[in-house]
Amino acid sequence: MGQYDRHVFVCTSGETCPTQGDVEKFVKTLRAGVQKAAGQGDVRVNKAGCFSQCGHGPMIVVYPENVWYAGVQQADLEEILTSHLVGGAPVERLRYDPGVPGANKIDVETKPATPAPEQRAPAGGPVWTRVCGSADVPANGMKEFPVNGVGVLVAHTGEAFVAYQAMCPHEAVPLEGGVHDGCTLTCLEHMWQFDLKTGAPMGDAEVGLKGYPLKEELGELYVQLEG
Amino acid sequence: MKIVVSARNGSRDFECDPGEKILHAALRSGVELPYECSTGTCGTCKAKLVNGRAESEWPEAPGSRYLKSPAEILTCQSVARDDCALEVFTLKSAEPGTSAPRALAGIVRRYRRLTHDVVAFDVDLDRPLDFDAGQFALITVPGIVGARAYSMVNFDRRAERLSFVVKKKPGGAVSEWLFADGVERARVGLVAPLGHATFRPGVPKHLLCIAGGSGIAGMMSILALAGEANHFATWDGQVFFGVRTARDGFFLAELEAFRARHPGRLWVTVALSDEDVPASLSAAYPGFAFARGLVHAVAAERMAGRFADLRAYVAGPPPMVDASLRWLLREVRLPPADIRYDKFS
Repeated sequence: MGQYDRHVFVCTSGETCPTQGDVEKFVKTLRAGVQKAAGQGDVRVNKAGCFSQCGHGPMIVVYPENVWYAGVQQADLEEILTSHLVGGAPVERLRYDPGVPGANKIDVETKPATPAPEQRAPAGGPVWTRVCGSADVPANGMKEFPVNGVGVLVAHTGEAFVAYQAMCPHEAVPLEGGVHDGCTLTCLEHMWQFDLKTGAPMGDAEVGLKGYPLKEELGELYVQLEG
Repeated sequence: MKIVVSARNGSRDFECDPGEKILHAALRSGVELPYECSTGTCGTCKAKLVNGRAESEWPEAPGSRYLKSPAEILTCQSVARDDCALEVFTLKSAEPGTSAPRALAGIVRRYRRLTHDVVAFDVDLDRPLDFDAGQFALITVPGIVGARAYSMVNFDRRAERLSFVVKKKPGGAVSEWLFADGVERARVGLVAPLGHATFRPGVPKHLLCIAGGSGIAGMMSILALAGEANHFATWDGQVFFGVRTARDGFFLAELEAFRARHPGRLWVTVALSDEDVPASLSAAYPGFAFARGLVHAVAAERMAGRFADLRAYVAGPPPMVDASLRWLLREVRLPPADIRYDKFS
């Protein structure tokens, strides 16, 4: 027998959940909601580690019903609270059903671009290819350059240069046509957003951007296409 | 035919009738396949066909440029020839309370010209329809293959009539038809309601509406509902309406009626891109502000410093919408959830 009427686990430390939504805020919202509904059952909300379903996040699991929710958005929490945690009726539309028991990780690009301005190419090591002059990238702007046949987007965050794949992973639209404010890069085609400093997906975006290590030397920018 | 759609967050299935667009069948069945324009342009409804046969009824649709392989289809243009299995990025859930779109028909009534290249008309529906303020309908007219999307101007619950406003698009088959004779009393087909650029009462935000040309249509619907729901008792409304010249303006009397009902709360600015504001125009509408310039630039200038608690609605031609989105994202720093837009392409 459990210690609580309902026990809620929010993944806050897996590889993808924290990049797919503000899961720390989810925990706060759920705790506040549960507290407000005090007297209607003893519900415990815990932060949890990875559920090994990476890519389906943010994920929330509720016991004793053993209900798994995937792709939860902040706007869904109210319904989970009222309908399930307080009312006892799971929110069917958010239920996770991969059809395969056990781990169901999806390969999602989450590795941040690591600008490596000081890195020296050791013999036989990574190859740095020139992209453009530093002055070719508008201050606080971004521009696409072909590098050995690969489209590379170079953006200036206001403090540093970063390099990413040139096309939005969503619809293969040039990201150059989007906007950034120094923190967030938005593709104007369908408003997918990415963390400008890491390439991690934000909001509706499902996958992040492939980043290229970048260095600046004597007013020229270089990237490593393959590490 | 049975269509199974799988996404990273689960899978759903639905029935698709012969000749029915896969997107329409899905939405009608409560399966929220992604879409935006639903007219083959934007590419949002792209899906991967992993099994079965489906064919596009408009292979040269501009949105096809987003397809990366022969296995990918635009669900808004494709019909199933067989049971199909599709893959999409994500299956979202419909906003609670939205009506699923369905096919319906109606008769064109009260057809009238508003300017030299804008007409308005109503469609009296065979059956009443619920829709959200800011949504649109796909309209098919007799003898022309393919649908065009037009936003509803009115807002009514269990609406028996939908009002539309259409700007002439040279070369556009449906548009040409709508500007020819014999439109009044013609029977047209619709798929409605569609679109996510919606307003719901209770949004705790000031409303910012930026419209170019016939983009004002959805704003009229939103203003009607917001007024009725007492939104302007607590929140401001700022409407920026851009047209080329004074003779391109329409709905000004209707906008003035909205404004007069919410003095000190609802503000209307008309931007003329191609000429200085004639004194006769500003004299005719003393309650409006007027400016010469592109509507997004006029909005940016007049909204400076008033960025808190905004929900923005943008509709109009693509360059105007994109320019507005840039400003809203970069300067106003609105999250995408507070930017609702409709690009006419």
